[in-house]
Amino acid sequence: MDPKRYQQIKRVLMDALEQPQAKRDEWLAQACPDDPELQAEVIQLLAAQTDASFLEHSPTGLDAALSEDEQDAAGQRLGRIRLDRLLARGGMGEVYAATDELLQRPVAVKLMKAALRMSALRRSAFLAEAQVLSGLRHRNICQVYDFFEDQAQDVLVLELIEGQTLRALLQQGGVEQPIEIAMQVAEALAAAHERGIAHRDLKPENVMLTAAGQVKVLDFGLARAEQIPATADPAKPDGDTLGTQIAGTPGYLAPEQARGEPATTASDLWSFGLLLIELLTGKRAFPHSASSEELIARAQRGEASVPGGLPRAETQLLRRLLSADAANRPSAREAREALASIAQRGRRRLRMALVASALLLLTAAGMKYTFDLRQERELALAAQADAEKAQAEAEDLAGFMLGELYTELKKVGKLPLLEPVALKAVDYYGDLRSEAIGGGRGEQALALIRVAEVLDMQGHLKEAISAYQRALEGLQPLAAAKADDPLIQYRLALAERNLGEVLRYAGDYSGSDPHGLRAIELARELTAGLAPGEGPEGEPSAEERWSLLLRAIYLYADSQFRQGRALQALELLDEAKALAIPAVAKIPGLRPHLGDIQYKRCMAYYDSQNPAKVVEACQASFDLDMALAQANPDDAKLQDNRLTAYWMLGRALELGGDLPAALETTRKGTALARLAVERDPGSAETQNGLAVTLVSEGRILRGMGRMAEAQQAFEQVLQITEPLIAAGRDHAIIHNHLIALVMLGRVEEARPYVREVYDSGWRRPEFMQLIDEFDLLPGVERSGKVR
Amino acid sequence: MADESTGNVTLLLNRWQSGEREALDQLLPTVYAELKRLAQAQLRRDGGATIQPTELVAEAYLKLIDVDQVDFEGRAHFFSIAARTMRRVLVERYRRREAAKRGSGETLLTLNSAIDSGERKPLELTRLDDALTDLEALDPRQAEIVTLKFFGGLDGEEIAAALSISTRTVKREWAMAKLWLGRAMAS
Repeated sequence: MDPKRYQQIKRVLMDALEQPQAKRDEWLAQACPDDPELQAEVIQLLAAQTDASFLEHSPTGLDAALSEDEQDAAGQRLGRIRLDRLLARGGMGEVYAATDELLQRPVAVKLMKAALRMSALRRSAFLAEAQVLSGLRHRNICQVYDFFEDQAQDVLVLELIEGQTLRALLQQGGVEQPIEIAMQVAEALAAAHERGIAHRDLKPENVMLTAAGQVKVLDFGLARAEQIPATADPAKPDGDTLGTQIAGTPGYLAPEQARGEPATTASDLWSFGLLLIELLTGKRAFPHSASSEELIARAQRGEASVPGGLPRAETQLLRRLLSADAANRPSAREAREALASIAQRGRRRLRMALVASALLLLTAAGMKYTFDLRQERELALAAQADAEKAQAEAEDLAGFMLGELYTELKKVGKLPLLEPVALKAVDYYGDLRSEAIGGGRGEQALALIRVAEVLDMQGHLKEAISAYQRALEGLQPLAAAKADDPLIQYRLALAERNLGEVLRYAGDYSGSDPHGLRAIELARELTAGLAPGEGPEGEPSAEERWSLLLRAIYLYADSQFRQGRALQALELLDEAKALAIPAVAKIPGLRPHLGDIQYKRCMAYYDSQNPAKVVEACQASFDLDMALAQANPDDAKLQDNRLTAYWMLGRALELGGDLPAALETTRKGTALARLAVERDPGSAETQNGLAVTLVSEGRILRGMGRMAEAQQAFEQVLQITEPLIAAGRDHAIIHNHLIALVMLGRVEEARPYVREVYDSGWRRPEFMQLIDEFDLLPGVERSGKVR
Repeated sequence: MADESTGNVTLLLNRWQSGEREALDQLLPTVYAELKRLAQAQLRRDGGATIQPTELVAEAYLKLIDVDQVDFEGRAHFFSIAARTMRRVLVERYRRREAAKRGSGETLLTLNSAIDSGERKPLELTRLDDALTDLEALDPRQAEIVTLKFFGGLDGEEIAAALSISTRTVKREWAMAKLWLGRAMAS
């Protein structure tokens, strides 16, 4: 634009402004009929008129901006406190890093400006709270050490915290573990609330995260000390102020606070809800641009909407937190519990995916197993009530679990309903001596194994591990005493194998391996001298024995594989394959084991970068998986295996050098994965399945030089993995996430994930190659050794 | 001393008014220093309560100028200098503060800042400054009107006198400048 044109616009615009608003368009149409561009420009400018206050007030940042030149008080002494350096300055006063010279400890000191000092009444209330707070030591609350008056200013001595505020982190692009952070905030609130202290001004600015990931809530009860005026009529921003004063921050006020009623502990839960929305979505519940009048008006009406697209449990919790009626909000402790179960779900989801998709197929196919859900719930609730009645009845309960309930529920994939029972049972077994657990032929221990399976599936990994350990403690002396009782040996092997599996799942490979080896050893004894698929009469059955052995070898091989020992894994898998093929001929029920073994062989050949063998192994695995899926249309796991079959065959072909065939195969897998996600969008496992095949697609495309398409694929991967990582961590998901980041050139973002996965002991060659190629872990080379 | 500097500033102002451009170069630093000093004094006095640039400019005027020696037009000229200076002071501070906010990343304790944070969304001074600079190239007079009104706190009549135009013109130019800047800053 040049000044001449500006003058043209100016002439028309100024005249337009003199016209009555209603007639402007009409006037404009005849003012410059032959210059539509000019007309459009003027119309656009007229529309720019929005905020009536724009430029009408002097710059507001003036005082804060100029005050920076003010002398700060660093170097001064306040009694035994020496002010070291100014940390922050704001509307309310200044914060210094300081030293308590008597106790020789670093502290933070908040000096409150004289102009904002509290009235005598609020002051006494604040003092009373400061007293309670200073007595309250909680790891998630910024400790109040002291509060005193010095030369007409109020001095608050606090714990010095090194870290960043949630606001800063959110602005930098969000937080990694929102649920974990929210849980710690809820713990802080619970601790304070239980002593009758409300925060009154909870918001991301008042929550800090230390480098170690610890949450510290700041400024408890301080909001009492300051007030903001509220205008009565949101339509009149400069109207009369309301008779009452409101303490807090407009964007986070609970409805009752906004109405000028005193804030209660329940008000904090409202603010906590808004904070949780920000943690989960990275966005403020209310737009930042809203004026305080608007925010207060909204809060007064109890308006806060839960954003869409969040999982059900989160949505339900948020709805409760954001109840307009304070009485309907949960307590901080309840909120914490709800978050704890959400946190576990992240882990549980993966394992539950199998059960969930089985269930889905069940309902979708309208099969004869149309269990009445309510009836089951009642069953489980009744069982829970039983358990609560008396621990003495727990033995019956164990029998109940072992028997009908477990079998029936497992059949329809409703084991989660046993969760409360399992937790009760663990309490019971926790009090039981090992001898009692190891009584008889290990019935109690077997019940405990069942309990642990339920716990494991429900994501209570710690509890599951300890339940398996208890079972082992009971079974070991029993098995030693009755080394010739195969049923006891079998149960012991089961406990070892499962414990190994849970530990492996939890990423503790070194903890897992001894149990895995012991399970293989026991299973070999149970099948010693038997032809594959054959077994003696009685318990355990031939199928149980061979299933135990094949699964034990498979799991141990998988652990080796994950630790980068593809060749050892292959050796074990070849042995297992040789056993499985004849065994399957006799016991068709063992076929899925063979499928797993073939699949893992394919992966191991892939990891050992053996192009000669990999295509053959993967093709064999592929063929078997397809046949199994076709023969068992109702088995969700076998159906899902097709996806990985496509994917691995694609990778094998890629390694073998046939990129076009690799791409075609992988894309079939992607299509299948998309279907699975559509069917069950809530499942982390199906989501990750899609991410896996997209990573493959991206890599193949990259190899073919089709960079734009590759980039698209990796971007899709991130869209999937980002929320999954936020919900809970699994190395497979993190692995996909970091590959996509690296491939998109976002190497710096990938580094912390690389470190995490590497530190867990994950050594797949593909991963190590990536580290090498992009120098992701300085000091570590492909062999995994430190340079 | 005070009299000497007062006389000096008045003299400079009069010389500038009568066409000596160099006089302005000497005038500006004095006005700048005085505005800064006054602002800080006012902040200390009020314990951080709000201060108005308008008041500051008025106070600087009384401090720096021998009122008897300067006519109404001269006063308006002083204000227009002060307003431009004020714009510079404010935008510089704002830039520095924003830079400090983003960069440091070190320990940061929040002050309970409900009082500032709840207010009307703060105007982004740097963006306004940029938009104003663009406007200067298109229509210097409009830009000057905005500076005088927003940063100097002058009213319509004072602006009219300072720029030797009618108050009606001030009003019309102001109305357009607001629309133009509003759109520029929204984009």
